[in-house]
Amino acid sequence: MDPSPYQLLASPPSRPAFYSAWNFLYRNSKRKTQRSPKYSFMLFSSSLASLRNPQFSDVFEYNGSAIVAMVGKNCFAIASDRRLGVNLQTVATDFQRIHKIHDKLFIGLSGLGTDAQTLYQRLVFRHKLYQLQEERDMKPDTFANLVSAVLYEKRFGPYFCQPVIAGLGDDDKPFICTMDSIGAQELAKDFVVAGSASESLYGACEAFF
Amino acid sequence: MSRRYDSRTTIFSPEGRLYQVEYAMEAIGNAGSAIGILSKDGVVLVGEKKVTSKLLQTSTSTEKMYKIDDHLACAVAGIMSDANILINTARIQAQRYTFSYQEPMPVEQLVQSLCDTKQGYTQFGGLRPFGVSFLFAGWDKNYGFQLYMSDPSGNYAGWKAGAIGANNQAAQSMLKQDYKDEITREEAVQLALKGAKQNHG
Repeated sequence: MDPSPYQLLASPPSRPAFYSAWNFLYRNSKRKTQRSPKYSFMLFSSSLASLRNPQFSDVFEYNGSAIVAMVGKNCFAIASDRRLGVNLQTVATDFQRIHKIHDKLFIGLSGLGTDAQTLYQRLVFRHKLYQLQEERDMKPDTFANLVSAVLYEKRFGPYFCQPVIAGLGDDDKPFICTMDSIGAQELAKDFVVAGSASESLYGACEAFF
Repeated sequence: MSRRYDSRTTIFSPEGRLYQVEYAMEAIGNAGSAIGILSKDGVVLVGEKKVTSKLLQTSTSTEKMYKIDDHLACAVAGIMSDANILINTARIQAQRYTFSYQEPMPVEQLVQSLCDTKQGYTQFGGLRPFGVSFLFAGWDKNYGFQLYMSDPSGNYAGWKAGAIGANNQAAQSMLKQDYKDEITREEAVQLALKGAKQNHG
């Protein structure tokens, strides 16, 4: 589902047009060209990639990231690091990984920085339309399903991101979840972690939670 | 005699008129009115909701005013089902712009984009035009507060004060008399309400 920047006009009606928002976007989202198979290959062969090109040993670790979210009593916390790196070099120390969707919903995006930014912009697009049409904010579990669907659309050429979603649902009940880069959700009652530092974070969380 | 040139949107009459477009404007002349007034520090939109039956859920209906984006809203007069389609289109266009440029869409650009859609239905495809007029009110950082009026032909213009829907001629002439260039927002609200009351009463 990719709002193409080249299509600023609605297409001229050559047949009776059924303009629902979803339909409109879906029609414009179909791939116009063949995807080269090498992108799917990259997903499954990070070890081989390190032989071909040491710069990209693991695309998920290229920029470096650490995100964690925890549940408390009628509250949640979400935290991330602010480092943006290019392999071992640090390029920025104020990179924002956690974004607000609305007052009671936050999303942290770990992984490749460019995909995190673009994915966030697309989610803002979808959420804004939802808000305008339904005249209310999206619930966290609904939003998690939306993120999952958006990621799965790119199943064979994915966003190299792992989102962490944290928010307050009905009656301010805290909700957290994470998912992999193609949208498999992991709901947890206590904490979720993501990023290149996820193993360290798992250890820390298990110890401290 | 002019009946010969009625049935297709895509042909001119000998006098150079597009009858389908004009008939669409007739349809709007029967709808509830809306008035917009531009002031120094805001744009005021007033809409008259026509209650056709006491069984209607008036509290939950939003038949007149719609938010297009955080910085843009519109008032509608005409066929509601047509309006819903266009409002959906406008919302998606605004979000598309924000996705590409990471800033709110300028008001005139959105109005122009929507009017381009409407114009398409007067020139090709053989489909009838939308029977809706809009009053767009918005703010952007280049031109500040703005008010635009558009009609089924796809024409639009920026206005200091405008009226659409039933009795719009009368309302427009009243606004022409009473509008001052340095009107404040509170005065604009009063003026718009006066216009709405005049339409109704």
